[in-house]
Order: sequence, then C-alpha cells, then structure tokens
Amino acid sequence: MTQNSGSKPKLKILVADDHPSFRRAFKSLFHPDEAEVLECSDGYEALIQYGEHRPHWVVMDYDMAPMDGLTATESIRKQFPEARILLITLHDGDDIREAVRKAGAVAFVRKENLMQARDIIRGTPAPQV
Amino acid sequence: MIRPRAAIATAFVILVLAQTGAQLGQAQVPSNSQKSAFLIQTWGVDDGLPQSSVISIAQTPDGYLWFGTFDGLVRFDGVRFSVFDSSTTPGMAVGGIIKLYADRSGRLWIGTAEGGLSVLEKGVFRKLGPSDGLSPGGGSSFLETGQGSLLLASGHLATRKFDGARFVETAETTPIAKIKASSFEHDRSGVLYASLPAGLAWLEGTEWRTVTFPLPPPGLAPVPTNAFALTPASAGGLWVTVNGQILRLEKGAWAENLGNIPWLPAIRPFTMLEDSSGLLWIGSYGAGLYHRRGMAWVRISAEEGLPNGVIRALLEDREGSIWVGTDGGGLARLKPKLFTNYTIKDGLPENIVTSLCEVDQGSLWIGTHGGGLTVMRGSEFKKIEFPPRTNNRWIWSLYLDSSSTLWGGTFGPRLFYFRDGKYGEMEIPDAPEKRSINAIVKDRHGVLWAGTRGGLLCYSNGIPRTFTAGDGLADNSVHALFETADGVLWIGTEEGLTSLSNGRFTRVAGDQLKKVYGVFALGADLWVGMKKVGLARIRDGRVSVYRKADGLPHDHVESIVADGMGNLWASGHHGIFRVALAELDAFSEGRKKTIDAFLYGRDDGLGSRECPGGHQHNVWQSSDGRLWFGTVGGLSVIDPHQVKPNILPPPVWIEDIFTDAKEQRSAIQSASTNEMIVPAGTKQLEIHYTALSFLAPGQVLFKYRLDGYDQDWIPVGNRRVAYYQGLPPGPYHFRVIACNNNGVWNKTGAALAVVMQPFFWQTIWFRGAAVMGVLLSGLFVYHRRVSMLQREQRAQREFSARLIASQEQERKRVAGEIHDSLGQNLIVIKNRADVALSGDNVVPLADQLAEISRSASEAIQEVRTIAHNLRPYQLDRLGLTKALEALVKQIKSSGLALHAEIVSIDRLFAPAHEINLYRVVQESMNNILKHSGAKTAWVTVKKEKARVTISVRDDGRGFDYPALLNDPKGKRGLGLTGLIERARSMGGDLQIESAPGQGTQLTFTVRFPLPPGP
Repeated sequence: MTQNSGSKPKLKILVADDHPSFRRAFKSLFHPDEAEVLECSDGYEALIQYGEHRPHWVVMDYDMAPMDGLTATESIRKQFPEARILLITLHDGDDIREAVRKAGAVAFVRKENLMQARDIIRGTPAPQV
Repeated sequence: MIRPRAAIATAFVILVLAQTGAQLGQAQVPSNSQKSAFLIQTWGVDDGLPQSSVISIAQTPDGYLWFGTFDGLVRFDGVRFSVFDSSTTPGMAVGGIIKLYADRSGRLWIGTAEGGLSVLEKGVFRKLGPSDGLSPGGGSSFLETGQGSLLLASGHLATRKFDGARFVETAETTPIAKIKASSFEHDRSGVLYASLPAGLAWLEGTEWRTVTFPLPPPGLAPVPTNAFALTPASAGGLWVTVNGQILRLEKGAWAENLGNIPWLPAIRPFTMLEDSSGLLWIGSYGAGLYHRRGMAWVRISAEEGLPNGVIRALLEDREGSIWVGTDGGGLARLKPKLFTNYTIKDGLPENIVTSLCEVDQGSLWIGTHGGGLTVMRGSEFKKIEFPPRTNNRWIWSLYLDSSSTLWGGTFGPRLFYFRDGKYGEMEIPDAPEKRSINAIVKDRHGVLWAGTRGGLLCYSNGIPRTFTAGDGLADNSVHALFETADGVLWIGTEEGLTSLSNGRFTRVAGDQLKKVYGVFALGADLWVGMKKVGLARIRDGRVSVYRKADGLPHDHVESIVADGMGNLWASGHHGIFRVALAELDAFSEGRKKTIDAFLYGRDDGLGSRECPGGHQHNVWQSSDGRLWFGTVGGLSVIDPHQVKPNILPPPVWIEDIFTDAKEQRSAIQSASTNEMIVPAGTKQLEIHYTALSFLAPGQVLFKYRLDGYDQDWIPVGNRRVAYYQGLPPGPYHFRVIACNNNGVWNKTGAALAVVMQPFFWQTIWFRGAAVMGVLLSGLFVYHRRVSMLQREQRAQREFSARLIASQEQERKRVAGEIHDSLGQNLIVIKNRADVALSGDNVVPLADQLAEISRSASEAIQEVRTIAHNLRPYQLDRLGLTKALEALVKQIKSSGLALHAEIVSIDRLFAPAHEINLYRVVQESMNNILKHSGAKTAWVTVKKEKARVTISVRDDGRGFDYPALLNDPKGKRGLGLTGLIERARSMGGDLQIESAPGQGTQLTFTVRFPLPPGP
C-alpha cells in the first residue's frame, strides 16, 4: 500500500502556505512517483497556479497574506467549480468550519494532522483530466 | 368556468343564503330593534349610589355630574360616587333631591321634595330660606335668562331673581311674575315659556301670550293636567309632547307636528331631550326610553339593558353621552356603539372568531375556533356543513383566490377548498409536524402556498413540496403570507420576514423583524405586524419599528388593515387599536415624540378586547368599507366613517387631601383655595385627584409631579391618588394632568401649593445660622480637594486606558510570534514525525529526522527570542547595567554603528523601575532600527549626584516632533506614548528633539532613589 500502483495516473497537488518549512513537510508525504507537489505561498499565487496547472487537489492554508485561503478558495471555486480544495488551519471551531463549508472547500483538516489530508487525497479517485 | 354562487348550492354545502335583495351595507345589519346602536351601562346602589331613584341630573361647568336621589345628592366623576345629604353635609336642605340646576356661573341649585333649597357655590353648600328672599313653599323651577340672571319660580307664588346673595324682585322679574306657572322654559333664542294647566304661554316683551294645546287625534281623550313634557328644539321654540302628539311650538304658533305616532298615546311621557346631534329622546313613566333615528322611532327598555322603564331624568353630558335617571333602577348611561358585536346569541356557532373572508359582495365567511365555518349574509348566519369524516371545526385561515375558489386551513391540519360547487382537500405531507395551516395564498402564477409551523407548503400543479429554513426561510414556523402587486410573496415567520421573488428566498431587514404575524401592503409601504414586538413599516428598503414605548397601546400586532381614511387598524391578543398613518410618519420624521393611537375595548361595543392572533384575515374590510374583527367574544364590526374621536380634554380636579391618613380637606369644603399647609411632623401626604371624562374612565390617564421633590412628570396610568412619604419641610407645588379616552391631554390640569411646615429646629433661620459657619469654612477646603481629585482621577483614567491598549497590542504581537514561528515549526515536527512513524517513508528516515532536528532547533531559538523580548533574563540575573550592555551588543550585531557609554546604575532603582529604564533604551533603539534609517547612533547612561541621565541620539532622518505630538496615531506608531508613560510613571523627564533630516535626540532624566514601584 505504500505506493501508488502504476495503473493510477500521477496526482497533481498544489500546496499553498506561507511557511516554506511547512510546504517541505507536506511534500514529504508523497513519493515523487505518486504525486507532483506544486508550491505557492499565498492565495493569489494559488489562484494563478490553479489556472495554469489545474491540479487534482489544492491544499490551502487558512491564514495567508495578502489573499487568505478562504477568499482564494471561493475565487477558485467560482472560476473552476470542479476544483477540489482542502483547507488546513491552525485553529478549529464551528465558525471556521461553517465558513470553510460555505467557501466550497471539500474538506477541512487541522495543520498538525497532515496524514489525514493525505488519506483524503489518496481515498479519492483521481479524475481523468 | 368558476361560478361561486353555484358552488355554494351543492350536496355538501347545505347553505341557504337569505337573498333579501337589499343593498349590502347598513341596511343589512340586524335592524335596530335587534341590535341597539347604543352601549348601555348601569349603576345602582351596589356601585355607590345612596338610593336607587335618580330623579334629577345636572352637569356643572367644572365637569362633574350630579344626581338627585331621595337619599341625598351624589357627585360622580366616572369612577366614584360622593354622597352629600342633610345629615352629614352642613348647608344641605332636608328632603329628597328632586330638582338640580347648574347655572352658568358654576353654582349648583338643589331643590328638595320638602320645599327646601340649597346652593353649592365655590365648594360650600348654603341653605336658603325666607331671609334669602324665598317665599314659603320653596322653588320648583329654575331658569337662567340670556343675560345670565337666575330666576326662581317659587311654586305658584312668585318669580324672583338671584342677585348673587339673595332672591329679589327686580324690573326683570316683574313681568315674568305676572303669570302663575308650574314651571318655566326658554328656547335657544331666549324666548320664555310658562307651563300652564291646560296650555303654554310665551313672553312677548313684557306681556304673556297664551297658547292652548291642540286637540288629541280622533278617538283619544285629552291628557290630564301637566302630563306633558317639553324641551328646547334646535329648529327653534320648544318640543312639546302632549295629547298623543309631538309638536314644536315657536312663540305663539304650532310650527311642526311629527305626525301620527302610534305608541305615543299609550305611554306617559315624563321627560324629553333633544341631543346635540338632533336626536329626540322621550323618557316615559314605565315604558322606557324612545328615540328617533331618521324617521323611525326606536324603543330602549329593560330588554336592551336599561335598569327599568320608569324614566325620571335625561341629560346629555358634554361628551355626548345620554344619562338616564330611573325610578327604582338607578342610573344608566347610553353612548353610541362604535362596534356592533355578534355572538352565539345571534347565530354564530362559536364566539372565538379566527378568520374572515368576504366571498361575493355581502357574504362574509367566518372561521371559528371549534365551531367550524359559517356564512353571514345580512344578519343571518348559516353554518357550512362539511362532508362526513372531514373534521374542519378549527379554522385557522381563509383565503379567496382570483378564480373565486375559497381556501381554508385548519388546525389538524387540513387544507380544503370550495371550487365549482365541490369540496376538496389538498394532501399535506409530513402532517404531524405541520399541525396548523396559518396562512394561504395562491400567487399570480397559480401556485398555492400555505404557511405551517413546519415550513412553507407549495403546490405547483398539485404536487406538494415543503420549503424550510434550509431553503432560505427565516424560520420554519410560518405565520403570515401576503402577495404584493409586484408579484413578491412575503412570508412572515417566527424569526423574521422572508421575501420570495423570482424563485429566490431573501431575508428582509435581518434581525429587526421578529415574530411576524401580519403583513399588509399600502401603496409602496409594507406594514409588518409582530407579536410582542410591535408594528414595522418598510419603505424604500428602510425599516421603522413602532412600539409601545413610542406610544402604541401595546406591542401585540398580529393583523393589520387600512380603512381608506388614512388610518391603520391593528388587532392582536392585547386588543384592537387605530393609528393614523400621518401620526406614524410624523414620529418617524421626528416631528412627534410619541404616537397617539386609540385602543378599543368592551366600552366601545367590542365583544372582547382580545383578538385571537396568528390567523390569516383576523381583520377584514368588507366591500362597503366596514371593518370586521374576529375577537374571542364574537364578531365585531365598525364603520370607520362613524369614528369620531373625543376631542374634549378632561377637566382635572384635586378632590381630597389626607395627611397621616386623616382627611384634611375635601374639594367640596374649600374648592376656592389651592394651598395646603401641612403641619410639622407629618409623615404621609396623600392627594386624591380626578379627571372628568365619562366615555371610558378606565382609559383616562394621569401624570403628576411635585415640584421641589419630583424631577419629572410621573405617569401613573389611571390611578387617582398620589402618595408622598417623609417630605422635608418646605414649599412644594403639586400638579396633575390627565388625558381622555382618546389620549387628548389637559396639560393645564390642576395644581395645589403644599407647604410642609418645619419644627422650629427645622426652620431656615435656625439651620441657616448653624450651618452657615460650618459651610463657609468647609467650602473652600472642599472645593480645592474636589478639583484636585478630579484632575488626578482624569489623568488616572486616561493612563489606564492607554495602558490597557498597549498591553493588548503587546499580547497581539506575542501571540503572532508564537503562532507564526513557533507554531509552524511544531507543526512541521509533528507531521514529519507522523510520516516517519507510519513507515510510509517517501523520504529516507535519516532525512526526515534531520528535518525534525532542524525545526526543533529553530523552535528553541524562537522560544528564546520570545521569552527574551518578554523579559530580558540578564535583568534579573546580572543587573540592569549588564542587561543594557547586552542590548547594545545585540543592536550592534544588526549592523548599526552604535557608540555606547554606560556607567553602572545597578541597584539605584527598584526592580519595577529598572525594567522601565531598560524599556526606554530598548524602545528608543528599536525606533532607530525601524524608523530612522540612521547609520550611527550614540547611547550614554550617566549618573550625577541623585540623578541618572540616559541619552540616545542618531543621525537618521528625524521627524517633525511638534506635528507628531498633535497626531496621536503617529505618536503611537513610534511607541512614543509608551516611552512618555514610562518616564512619567517614574516621575522622570523625557525630552525629545528632532527635525526632519536632523536626526533625533532623546534625553531621559530621573532622580533616585525612587520609592518602590507599583
């Protein structure tokens, strides 16, 4: 189960977080054969990169500047309704979850539980693009 | 093709409408013989009358009503009867009071059965006798001439004039006295008439001219002597009832005969009255009261609510009520009914009327609580029979759609209809949770909507669908539906108002609207009725809310209708009220501070004040313009055109004063004085007052204030007494004002000067002398102390506010640091450890551990930095001087050329102050690094005698210091506020010198030793 079988197409994931060390840690979740992890450090970049690369997943930090993850999620979903976005946050709460749901994110994971994020990504069949 | 008339005549609907052919309208309400146009209220011995025969009635100019009984004189203010008789009232003549006369100068004349005469003048009764010019036998008739002279016809003996003190013969009385008459009357133009045994006489100049009675109609015998009644006629002359006819006598001629009146010969007319609206009243001895409406005569007797049929006295008071004195039955008052009410007695199946709907002109469908559905046409009620096994007894809503289908919703719930002569029902999904159908609308697209407690039901092509809060409704509990002309459906719910337009639900006005039970559109305005919240208007998207606090009678607005005459009518659990739209506009625009609105009750003819709320069309305007209200006491209808507000401000009077529960004064005893001296040591003061409006005394409201004690007017509802306890000695001024049942205030009211007398040691002289000395000496000290404390307090408050603000800023900064750097590293460590533990090693384990180690090191360094910034550890371990040196070293490492010269200042200051000194240097240095752009800086710390001087200088860009001082935002930006506060808290002095391009010099001087810090 460690690695993806060759029959599955390679995943493309965009990780948006303003901390390089966090992005590196995220990258270490996936074998380069399993997923290509693209990086960006704020919401605007995520929006632009999504348009360019159309990744299967966007893993988006909630707190970013200048464009925060919530706004970026909404903007991406508005232009690309098929976008699958997973929001990651340091904080948790009903209000945040509600806002995340409204913005159109598929899932919500706390930042220290990245393994969950990986499970969600792995558990979803990659669409044929 | 829809034929509503045919629909009714079906096998299921057994309904026979009385097709009288009469026009819909007033003529179709029950005839006057069934439904009296007057509301009758009675009072007897149980209510405070001393005796049950009211023989005469008068209203004095001060507004009081007076009743003469066989057991004394009674004064009435609408609430309380006060009795004055010869045994308890000095100056009162002995005997039953048979004649009362209120003259224009305010005197009340009282004639007794035993021939006595008393007069009440300025609160004092006086018995008159022969020495006052009265001849034996007393007076039987009073008369006031146009000139204001009071004449007394004294039996058959003489007529005399009252000159203010006694009765005298004058030039005015001489011609009048030439005739021996039983009584006198004058018409409205001042012509005098005298009653004679077989006719009347009128005074032409100084001569009496006699007129004989016309003969009775054929077959009737002439009436006995004196058995006739007369009263001034508005058309001129007098109305005379005699010999079975009613005639008008104008001077010497019989000017008018009201024609054949079949019942008249059979009764004995005793008293007659033409009221201010031209209505003629005849009181009979035994047969009750007759009055003429239009061309018809109507009899009012015990059956309609009079105590009995023996009418002795009639009087119209200033507000238009007719007061009726009966022999043996007490007192009755008739006032026009605003509302006519229908109950079970009239054929309603149940008195609680929930929902109303006029189906075709003249057929009012009436939904009831428990009694099903009934139709009223004219005055006939016909119950609607439903098919077997359909239980529609609890009708919650009625609605007529544009294709004449009548829809009904019930508690149960059922949603039924009558269409094309057939009864049918709509299927209700999830019935149990919906419980009741509160409102129904069929919109312009033919879609049927029904509001329930469990959401909004929608039938498109007959298929039900439920919309709930999840679909955008403000709440699942839907109370009201209304479709406006622009096609918008308005949905009133428990939590607010929602609109449906173009398939989209939109919450309207957010939280401002709650418990929306009624929606009504008028022009471009939307009116919203809210239970317990009040009335709201939405105009151009702006919401105005009107509440009880603004002057509405209550906040329970559940149904709203407009009368087409500029008024809104609202009903709800706390009653029906009317308010002018202009009044609400004036309030919204700030032109009025309170809203005047009129609440109606049983006094106005309503079956009950309470209307069952939450039902569609609890209020209905029928095609003839009348307004119908479902109440819990029947169906009430009002013609808004007949609503005439009472515009008379009520006279206000102070009646009695009690001190320590002892009556000190009654209005009767000393109405002439308006001052009350209260003896020293009195604890309780009680002032009884009243206001004279008789239409609805329960709605007369009062406000009072005691100047010198109360700060403002005290609204006391309809309480008619004021209590004061332990008033200090001194002069006071008590004032009381009142409004009538329609909220018209008498703002002058009544006033009373009250002087609370002091004991000698309470006198101003005694106290003044004692207090003055103390006062003067204390004043100066006190003044100085107060102003000093105030200054200090102000400074302290400002400092606290700044301190809190800067603390919060600091906390925010620290939280940010922990979150951004420390938190991120910990997250990385955790996640990398998770990956390593999972065995799912995408990256070699050694690399993973190396990353963890690196992140941990960073985290440790961050902890160190954060902690150091919070409190430099050198300060506690190595002392202030070393801490400052470490600071300098740290700054130098940033690349700034920093020249430092620091002498030891350890242990000169308390620890709390050492940190302040440290911060001054630290923040100055931070400013240099962050803002100055300086290449070089100098720091010196010097100690001279008892003074430490710290100087920080740079060669940076400097700033315009005076301008900055006036800009609090800029000052805060540089942290200067904190520096200045710190310096001030140590009692030090901080000098800042700077100018653009000139660098900055900061000099801080502080003395030591300082007392231990805070």
